[in-house]
Amino acid sequence: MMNCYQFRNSISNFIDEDITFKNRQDFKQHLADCPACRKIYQSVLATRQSMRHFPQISVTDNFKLNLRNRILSDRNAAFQHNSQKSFTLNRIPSFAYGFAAAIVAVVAGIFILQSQNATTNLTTPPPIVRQQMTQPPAVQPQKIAPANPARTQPQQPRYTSAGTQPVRIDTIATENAPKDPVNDYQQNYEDRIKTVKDQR
Amino acid sequence: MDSKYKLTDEELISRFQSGDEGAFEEIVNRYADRLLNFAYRFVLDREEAEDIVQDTFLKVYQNRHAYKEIAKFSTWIYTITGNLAKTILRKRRNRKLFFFSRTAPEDKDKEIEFPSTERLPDSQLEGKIEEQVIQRAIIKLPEHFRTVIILRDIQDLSYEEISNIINAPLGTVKSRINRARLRLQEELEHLRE
Repeated sequence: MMNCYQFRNSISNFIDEDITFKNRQDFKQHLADCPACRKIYQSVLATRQSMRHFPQISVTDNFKLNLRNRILSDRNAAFQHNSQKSFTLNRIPSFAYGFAAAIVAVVAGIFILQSQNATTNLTTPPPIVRQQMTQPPAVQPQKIAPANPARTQPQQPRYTSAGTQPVRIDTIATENAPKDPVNDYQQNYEDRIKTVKDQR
Repeated sequence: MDSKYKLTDEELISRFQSGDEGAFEEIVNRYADRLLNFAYRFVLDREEAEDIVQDTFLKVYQNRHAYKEIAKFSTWIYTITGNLAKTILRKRRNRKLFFFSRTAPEDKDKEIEFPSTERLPDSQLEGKIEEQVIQRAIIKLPEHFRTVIILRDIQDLSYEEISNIINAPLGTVKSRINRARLRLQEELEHLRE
């Protein structure tokens, strides 16, 4: 047996004859038994009949003429577009664009390099070089030398016999000798390490 | 020209693709009225329907080489018309939304204008009124129901053709047509009350 829900779902299949024999029998049975479904079915059928007999309308007389004009104007527009394209861009081969771009890039590069050279003063060294010249050379100690036991003792000054005033030889040596910043730095560094060790 | 009447649609479009302009004219002759009726039932405006059909043929002319003989020509051309009709409806809906605040409530019923039925004999008058009521109900259907019911019950296309036009499986088409018919009855009941 078919219920109302199944019946309503099968109306189109029944009308369009797209239904199995068994379902057709059930459909007919329900149609005979259920007045509400029968009303819907008859209404669907009547509406469908009416729609099939709707008056057909035809295109107006100037439809084809209008269409031809539209096609012609469209074709002209396309032709103009193509001819414009062919006069300007199509004539230039595609590799020419790349070649032109390369030339522009080279010229621009040369120009930039030249303008940079012009701005820098050739008599003065570049800023990085100047900075290196003004700063003391930062030489990191390669390895920490073991503390010299001789230096733990205060060094006895050695005196020359040349004059009455005692003059330290190492003082003379240091005064006369040119200052070596690397040695000074190493000396200071070793002294500092020594101090720390002593403090421990 | 007589030989062209014997040609199938697919053969005609093939000839047109090869440069035979006469084949295009034959296609226009075959489809102009059918497409006009389809578009008219969809948008219910004769001028707009004719514009849609013109646009359809223009598209066929421009994109003749886009058609490949994997589908029937009729489904291809109906798909173009259906899509254009939907675009018109969408534009109309947007326009309506834009001017919604300016439209008076009583103007709502004026949007569908049917031809006058004053001078028709009784039997024809009844038929005309019935047509207008059904058309009003069709217009109230959602777009996807409207499409299938016009194609099936007015244009008398097969389920397979509709399936190709709306690009949906056959089962979906069958159930959609059934639901559309039932929904149409509901709308008709509302209109007849």
